[in-house]
Amino acid sequence: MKTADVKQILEHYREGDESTPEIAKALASLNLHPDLAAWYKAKTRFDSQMVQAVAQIPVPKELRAAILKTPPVLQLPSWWRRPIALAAAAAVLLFAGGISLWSAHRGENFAQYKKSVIDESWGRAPHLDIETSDVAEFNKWLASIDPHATVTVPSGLNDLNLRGGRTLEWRGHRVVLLCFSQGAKHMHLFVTTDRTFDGLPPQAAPDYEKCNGWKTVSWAQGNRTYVLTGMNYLTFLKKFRHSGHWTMDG
Amino acid sequence: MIVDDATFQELVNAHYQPLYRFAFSLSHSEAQAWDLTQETFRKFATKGHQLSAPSKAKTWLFTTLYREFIDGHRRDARLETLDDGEHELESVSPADQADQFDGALARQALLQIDPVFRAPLTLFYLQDLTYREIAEVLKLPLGTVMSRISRGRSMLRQLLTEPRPGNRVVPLTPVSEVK
Repeated sequence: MKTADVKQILEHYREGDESTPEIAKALASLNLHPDLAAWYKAKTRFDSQMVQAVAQIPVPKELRAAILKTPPVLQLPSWWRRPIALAAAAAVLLFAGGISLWSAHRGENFAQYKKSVIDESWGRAPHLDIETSDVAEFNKWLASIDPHATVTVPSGLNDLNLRGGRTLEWRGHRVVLLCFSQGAKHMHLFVTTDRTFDGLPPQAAPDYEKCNGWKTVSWAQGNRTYVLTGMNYLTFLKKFRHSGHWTMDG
Repeated sequence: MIVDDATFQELVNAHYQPLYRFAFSLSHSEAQAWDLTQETFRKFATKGHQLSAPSKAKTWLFTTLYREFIDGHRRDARLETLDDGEHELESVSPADQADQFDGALARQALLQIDPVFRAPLTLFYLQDLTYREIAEVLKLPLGTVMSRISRGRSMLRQLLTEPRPGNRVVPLTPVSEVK
């Protein structure tokens, strides 16, 4: 076997890869050619160090938990496709539909709320009813609309510039929108005190989800429910999680 | 393929780290790598049951992440990271010896390789995929993948072993597009 052939074969060989007679022959020939053996040793060492280097790219600790918050959609079993079973299932669905129609009147779905307010807020130009960088001034304006309404900015967002805000109403729920900026980027924070939604985010930790193409983070704190759009997840994590604890007060 | 909670969790445990590392290598950004990885699994959670066999899940995940990364550069840039500086790495000089470089230096060198070579090279060094699977993920002929890995490795060696001004490992700037 020629030196060039051996190199060509072993250039692409990773230890642990499936071996072929050709690879075995090339490896055996290393014993006969010290120069080739040295070349192969250097190549293997280089690859091994690169493997270690790539394996040491740090992975955020929170990522796994964030991923696992997305439940998989279960596949429909094969019996679903059978006509009789399908008819039976249709009857069940009709019944279930009646139940869900009834239950829909009891509580709104948080996902629907989120989608609607995000659509509404970004779809209007100008999207702010009041422009101010002063939270106190904003609250004064808010009180003129609803004497009981007031907002505080979560501490993690204190370093952002308030641009102003507006109020929205979704199926009878009062929603306050605060618009922040950092550089050229805008972020919208939706705050509601309504707790009658189905599927509210947990109190202890935020939910990360894309909604209408926007990255959103939702969380509940006290009697308020927050939805933040326009901020990437890692930035959010850095701003709101310190020493293993969430600081979502606001 | 039936994707229940247990299967999903098993897949996440097995692949989220290599996927994140691949995403970081592509994007140079922790935030984008996070998003790419999460979005990949979100898609798997909703579409994974369409796969014919569990053995295809790994390749599907890497392929989806790669497509998501490429598509992301073509989409509306409204949601780009706020942390413009978070991916910047310190400037370092290359090691004198090819067998004496440290991991941080190696990673910086890898991130400076042209994306055309970096993507197959990273997948190669992640050791999760065979050549054939890498070709499938990148939608490239097998020969092209092998050739790019070879050339990418040569570039890496050059960056890490030849201390000339032109080969200096320098601070990174974001990848604007994948050629």
